[in-house]
Amino acid sequence: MATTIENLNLEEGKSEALRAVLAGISESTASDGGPRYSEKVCRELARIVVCRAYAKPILELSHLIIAAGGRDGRYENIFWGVERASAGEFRRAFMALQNAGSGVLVSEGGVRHDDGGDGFQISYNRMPLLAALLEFMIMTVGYAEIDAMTGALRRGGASGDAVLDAARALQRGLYAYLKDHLPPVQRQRREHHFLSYVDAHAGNRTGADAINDGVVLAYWRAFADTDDVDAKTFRVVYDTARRLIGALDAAADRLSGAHARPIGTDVEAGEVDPADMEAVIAALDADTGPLEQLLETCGEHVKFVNVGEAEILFELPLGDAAARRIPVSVLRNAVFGAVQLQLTTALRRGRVPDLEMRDTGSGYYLAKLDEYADVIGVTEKLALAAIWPLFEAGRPEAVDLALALAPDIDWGQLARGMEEEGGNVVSLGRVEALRQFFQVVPDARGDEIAALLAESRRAWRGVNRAGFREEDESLDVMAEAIPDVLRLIAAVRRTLDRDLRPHDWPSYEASDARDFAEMFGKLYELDRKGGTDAR
Amino acid sequence: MPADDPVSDLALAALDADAQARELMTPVTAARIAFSDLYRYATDPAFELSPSAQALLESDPNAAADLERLLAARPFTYMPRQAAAATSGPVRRETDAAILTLTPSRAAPDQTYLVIELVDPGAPPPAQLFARSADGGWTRIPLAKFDSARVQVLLETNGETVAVLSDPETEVYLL
Repeated sequence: MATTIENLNLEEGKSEALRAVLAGISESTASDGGPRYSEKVCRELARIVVCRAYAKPILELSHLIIAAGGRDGRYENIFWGVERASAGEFRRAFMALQNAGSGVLVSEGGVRHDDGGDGFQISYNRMPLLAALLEFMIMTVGYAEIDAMTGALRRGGASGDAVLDAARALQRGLYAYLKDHLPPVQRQRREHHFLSYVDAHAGNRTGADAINDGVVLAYWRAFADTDDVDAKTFRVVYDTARRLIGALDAAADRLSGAHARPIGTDVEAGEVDPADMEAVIAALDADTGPLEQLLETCGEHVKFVNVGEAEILFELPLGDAAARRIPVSVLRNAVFGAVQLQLTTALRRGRVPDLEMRDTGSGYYLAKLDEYADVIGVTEKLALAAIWPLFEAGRPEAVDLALALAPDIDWGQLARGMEEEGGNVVSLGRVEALRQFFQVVPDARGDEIAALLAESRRAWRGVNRAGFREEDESLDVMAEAIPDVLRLIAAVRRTLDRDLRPHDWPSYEASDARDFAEMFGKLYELDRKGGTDAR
Repeated sequence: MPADDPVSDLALAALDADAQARELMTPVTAARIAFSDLYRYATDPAFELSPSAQALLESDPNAAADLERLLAARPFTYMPRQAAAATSGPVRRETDAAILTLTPSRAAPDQTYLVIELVDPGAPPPAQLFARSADGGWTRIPLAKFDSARVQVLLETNGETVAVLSDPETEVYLL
């Protein structure tokens, strides 16, 4: 045991310097005092480092150093002279660069480097990550060393060979640093254990298809009260299943694609290509749901969703395939996962928990579905209300909202108006359609568009929330949030109508109330007797 | 689903790596000072390092070396260590581009004038002075707008800045 602890301490010591560098980068500040790099970029950087999937980004970086170096080779001025590391800032910086190096073409879409071969294009969206990677390398491999490795590029060596030589040197430098500072990846016992169980019970199903509601419940019942693995709460098991579903789907997608894989990677023998691994984690990260995006966009300023509503909607897996693959587990988690949380909280506070179980056949699952529908109904009403201030301000987002919320309206009437005037419907442009839309006078008894606007105005006047009051002055934030609101509404409706509604919920209610009550009684009676942690 | 299924192998490896990446991103008590912050410190007179970042700069020889390299790459002029120590009297350092003097005030001896004069009045003037003392510590003085190729800064005679600038071992960068 002592040896294991010593090894653990050694590993922690190795990684401490690495953690300090990553922390320094994520804590670095932009000129307005905010973070210089977005959380997403910092996560991507950590992912590239851990997966050692840096070959391609370093090649991109080598080309970008030529472009950023301009004529004097001082690449720092572009990489760190921008206000913050964002695509827009890098676009502005490159567009303003008077002396881009030879073979470098700067355009609205990105920077192209003609290396004498096919050329290399780097989009502005990619540059924040490449800047973070370069900063990471300077802080780990060393500033003087990076300068030396890229010396030929900065002295005008812009050929494909010069770029490759520099990229290889940078890769070697980073490899050497990580060899000493990045501990081996630890197996995540929970996921491996769960997947082994799934393997044994999957029959002929493979991949994420093998994870279903029956397996999730059976696993929890089998391991909740054992010391084999941390599976005491249903919520933990459900979250593990969700993550595995996402990872297995992404892995299957990645391996089915025609992605270039380094020669020598034998996937059949269990070898994993770092680029594949990085791509799967990236896919998991990209699954950030529409609710998180909406809250990030408008949060406190425009409350399309308030705190209580967000808590309810967070129970739905809107950004991944869990609702489709394990729909019953979604509601089991929402209903009984919450009951279990109350039990464990009570125990942690030293109280004897009350087991307030649902009555069998009381319709609690259907009531839960209705609760989600009610919440998203409120969001839809707020979206309807938002049409009005956007319409009044002549913002095109008003049209996007109106089209999404009232798709059945005869929008062709705007085009027909043009036909009468110009006799040419095909030439009706968006600008003219917008002009006509904004000339409509709200009228509850008027045509469909006029009636919609009147309804929107009535809804607007009936709302009293942050961002929905005349004095709030948050129209820009509201307009920016419209795509996220529409995505959230569509995702919740799709999850409810396609994934969750079409099940025989009453039949689950009777057995689940009984099964969960039995398990909770067993789990927490044991805890009370043994006085162990209830978590 | 066989145990050596490539899809499972990849999914589990990705989840393992993801857990490590998240673990590496958890807050630490002693973050390194970021290179981008050093760059701003070197190039933006309005940017102040936080006290904790300043302490990090003083305790991290790598960060100090990076700052020196940044300054050395873009100086208006560089004033190296002086060969011989002046024992008394006003301090004077001179390069092809600028003349730096430290002169105690006659009216108020507790105050000392730092004066920088440009040799070429038409040259774009520097905005900051960085002094690196013999022990490796850095002092930065933002400079006001030059008037007739000359700028003056009032310093405390017994203050640390005057002591550093008076030390012949100190290196000075104007940029």
